[in-house]
Amino acid sequence: MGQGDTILNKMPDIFVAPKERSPKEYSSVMAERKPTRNPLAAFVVRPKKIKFEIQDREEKVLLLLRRHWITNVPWILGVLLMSVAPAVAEEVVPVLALVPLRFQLMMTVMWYLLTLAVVIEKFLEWYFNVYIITDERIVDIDFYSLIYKEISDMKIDRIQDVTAIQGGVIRALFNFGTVNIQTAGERREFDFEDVPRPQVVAKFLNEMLLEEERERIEGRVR
Amino acid sequence: MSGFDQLLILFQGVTVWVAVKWLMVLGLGLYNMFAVVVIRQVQLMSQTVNGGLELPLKVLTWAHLIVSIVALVAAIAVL
Repeated sequence: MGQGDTILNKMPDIFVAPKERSPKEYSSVMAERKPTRNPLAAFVVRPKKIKFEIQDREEKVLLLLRRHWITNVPWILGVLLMSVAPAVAEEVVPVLALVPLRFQLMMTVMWYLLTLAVVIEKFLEWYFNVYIITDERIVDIDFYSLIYKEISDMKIDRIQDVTAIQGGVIRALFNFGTVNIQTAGERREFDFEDVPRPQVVAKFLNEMLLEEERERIEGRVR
Repeated sequence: MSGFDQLLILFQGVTVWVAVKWLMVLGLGLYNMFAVVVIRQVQLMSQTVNGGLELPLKVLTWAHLIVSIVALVAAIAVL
């Protein structure tokens, strides 16, 4: 080792870039909750395996939201009714007794295949229509049909207003509601509909806004 | 003999249940196409949002297609 190396080691630091803060440091919502492991959860905190199409390489998903599971009850009840329908079909429609047995059997099979189709489509609609909050932006992914999807995103620092709306007995009982987000972008409003713990989501977004402002002041903007 | 008469002779002996059978087969054929579309739908959705349930969903959709094919074959064979 030469003299030059010793001089370099003694030089004072002129500027030390502030370290990027982890979500647990700037958000009480993240600090109070462990990462969610349940793949069917509607309120997923710091998921490890979630990736989405327009995600940047360094971008981290902090919160993934789906509609509260209670919103699935109407179609689940419908499916249960459809499941028991073949058992009472002959009482309701007596003419079915005249149909040959093999046709009755095949009609039952087709009925259950239709029921299965309803279950699959409803589940996929619930599972894949998600709202994502990353360390940089909010993302709304909607699948309207087989061939139509819509992905909207907005940077967190363009959020102007966050409102948590919770009305009605069922929503109060099961603690779910809508988070309305006003933005300064082309799309003026994002609605996270029927998500669990809307107040917690609103609080988290406000914490993210504060952190974005801090990043801007400290020059840590990506 | 006119063409219409020949057509009538062709359909002679075809009962209602044969027509119902082929209607049901057609319905199941459409359902099979739906099952194929579901597989593609899950693929596209998983590319957009990868959530950790991809393998079970893939298995479920392929099993669904197999079941619908079996139902179609059964309809042709049994009815």
